[in-house]
Amino acid sequence: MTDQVLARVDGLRVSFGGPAVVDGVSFTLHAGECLALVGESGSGKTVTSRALLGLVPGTVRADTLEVAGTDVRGYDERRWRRLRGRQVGLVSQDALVSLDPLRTVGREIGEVLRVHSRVSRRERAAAVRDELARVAVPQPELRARQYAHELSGGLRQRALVAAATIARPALLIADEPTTALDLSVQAQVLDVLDQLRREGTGLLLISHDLAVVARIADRVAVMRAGRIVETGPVAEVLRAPSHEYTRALLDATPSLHTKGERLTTLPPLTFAAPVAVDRTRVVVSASGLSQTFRQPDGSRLKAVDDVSLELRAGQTLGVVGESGSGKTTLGRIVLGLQRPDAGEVRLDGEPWSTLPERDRRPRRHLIQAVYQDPLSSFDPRHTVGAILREALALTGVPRASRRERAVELAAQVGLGPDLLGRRPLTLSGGQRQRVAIARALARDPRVLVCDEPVSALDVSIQAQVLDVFADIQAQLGLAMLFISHDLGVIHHVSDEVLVMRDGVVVERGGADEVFTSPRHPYTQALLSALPVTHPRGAEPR
Amino acid sequence: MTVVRPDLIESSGTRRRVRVPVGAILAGAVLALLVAAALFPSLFTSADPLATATSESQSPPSAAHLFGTDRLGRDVFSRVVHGAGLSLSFGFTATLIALVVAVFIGVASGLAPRAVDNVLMRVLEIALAFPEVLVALVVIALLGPGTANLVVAITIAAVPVYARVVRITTVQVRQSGYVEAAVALGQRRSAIIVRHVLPNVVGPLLVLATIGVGTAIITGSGLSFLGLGPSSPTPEWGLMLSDGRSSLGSAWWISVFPGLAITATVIATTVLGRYLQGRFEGVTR
Repeated sequence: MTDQVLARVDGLRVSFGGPAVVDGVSFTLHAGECLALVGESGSGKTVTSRALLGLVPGTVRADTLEVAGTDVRGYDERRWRRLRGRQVGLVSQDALVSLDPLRTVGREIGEVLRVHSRVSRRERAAAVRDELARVAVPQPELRARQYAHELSGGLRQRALVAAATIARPALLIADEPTTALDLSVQAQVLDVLDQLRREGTGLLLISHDLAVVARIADRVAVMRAGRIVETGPVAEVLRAPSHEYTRALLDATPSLHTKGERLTTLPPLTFAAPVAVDRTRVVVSASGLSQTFRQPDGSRLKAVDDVSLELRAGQTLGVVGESGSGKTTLGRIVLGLQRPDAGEVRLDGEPWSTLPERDRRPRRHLIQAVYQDPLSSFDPRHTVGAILREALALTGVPRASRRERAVELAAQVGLGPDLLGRRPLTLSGGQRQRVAIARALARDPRVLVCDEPVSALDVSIQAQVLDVFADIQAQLGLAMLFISHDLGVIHHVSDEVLVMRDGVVVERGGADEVFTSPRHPYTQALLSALPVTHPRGAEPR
Repeated sequence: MTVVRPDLIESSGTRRRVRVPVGAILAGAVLALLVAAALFPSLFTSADPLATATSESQSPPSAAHLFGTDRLGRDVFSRVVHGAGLSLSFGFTATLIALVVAVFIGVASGLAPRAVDNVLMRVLEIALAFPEVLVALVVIALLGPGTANLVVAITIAAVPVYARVVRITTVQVRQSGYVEAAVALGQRRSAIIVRHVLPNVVGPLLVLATIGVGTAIITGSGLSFLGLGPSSPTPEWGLMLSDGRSSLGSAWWISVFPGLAITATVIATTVLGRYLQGRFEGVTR
């Protein structure tokens, strides 16, 4: 780290007509340093970073706003344009959206050079090639000729990094650069960013993921409601947070050390009649499940390949894998929404997957689902009350008492009765997921299949929803199939774990066993990619 | 035929008043006036649309006869007002029946096995290959002219367009997360269609139908202009247009005013329909 200051921000205030979205933010960023802005959605971290690029549509005021030693307050669009890309680069979250689908990756990256410097076409092509190689893209010549959709997610993200760095900006802003990526790919992209930092680039990292931050940041600034509530060296802030919000954020993050603990300080939900269950009784058993899909190009894809599993009452089976590993298809087969090509699912010892839908219907209530995107699982025309009453009607609750039961159900998952008249579109992500859980509970299920139920939620909301799952399982004795790509979440919730890859179960066993002594190389690779620098893990316990 | 979907208005989060463009307000006002004329013509004029007065044949617009009189001395204003009922009802009745038929065909096709779906859609596409007026003409040729047959003809001509829209929305809804959630909940197939598919299919369709009413009115007036609808002396805009055609040089008012009425109606329904479309489509997610 040198002492050269790349960005100096003091008293930054941004508003979009209303109250300030960013309210008095100050920080400095040196060359060769990585500063992470951490916070939940709406905390103002993205707006703060965009202020360094002149890309904020609102009113920006600051006591100091310097980029590479120059005061950029009052810059006009033309001067901002000269600064963007050359002095400050931006890597954004979704590479598929950020790259022009009609141009090759090479042209897209070269564009930056064309704008900022006079070099010949040949020199430009060479520069693009070198830059792709620098961000660890294999076969850069080939990749430069391809289009964005022809690259994998990880390669696309690295191409985006190359586009941001080719004009050698001293300051690089990375806004949730790895959020959409699988864990192993995430590790590669983080390595590339870390390498750039070591070569002297100043890196402003924006992330909601503390694990990512712990992996590459030097300093961290925790943002909440437009203010920095705590700032300091990463190790210090994460190990001994001084602000209560930082502490709550850390406690809410499920990791290898939170198992069996509540993630929030909210009181546990209570149910009128807790159910005592025999935790050895098998509720769902599946054997030899296989499912093949025909892909658009005519080839066949084995989404699920000879998978067997057992779900026991009161226990959670976690299914973990990267995108495309077949875990969602597995969940759909268990739910009876997809008929497997081979193998059978039995529910409570009786046939399930082999039945026609008409015969499955009377026992549908036994097995319920919670999806990743609850909003799409609700009829947009229905209110929360109507959604719950539909499920209650199916359970045979008489019309007269449905309203009352709906209120009770909502209360069980921590929703007030005032929400029943609202439509899901007007609810927050956490509230929506609670409605989905309440709807599932209305059917009095024995089994809950959860497909990435917390992946779209902020850390603190995720913690609340995970606690809801833990409460209902403890009290109602539900068997759960919990599907997630997040190893921390899976370890937190699971009694047993299946690790899937390309449709095949590569490893299975008790959660602690799999996570502490993985046998399969793929599981080992996944776990080593997991940026476990959880502060509480660093302390001897 | 203003279609308001309260769910969509509420779900826009904050219940901020949306500024309605002047054109849409104007169109709504014109339509309201026309509907009022259709329902209560006596509110607007006391003159009998059928009373002839040869002495006042073809007199130009004046205080006594706002729109003048026709060849038989009938008050054109009164005939335009009284004609609103028949002309509008062509549009609204035909569109309404067409919607019902189209929802039935479209939903059935969208939910049917692929083979049935394919056959139904190809048949509709063949029907779509001909202009609506031509289809209506063929139907009238088979059924014979007359007011009722005219409505049937317009209906049959309008069905294919709506049916295709319904079918596409049905397929989208069928594949939606909430229908799958209803299946997983254990909901019966018939209940899923009634509770989830139909309401979500009809919403966007009603917006489209608002524009369709205008088309249906044009088709209706056009056919009755050709003498295939109601017969003289019934006041109907298309028919009046046809009556005044021969004397356009000497008494322009006989055909120009009913013509303006048709134009105003069609423009008003189209403007309003486009506004509703822009307003609600895309919000439906």
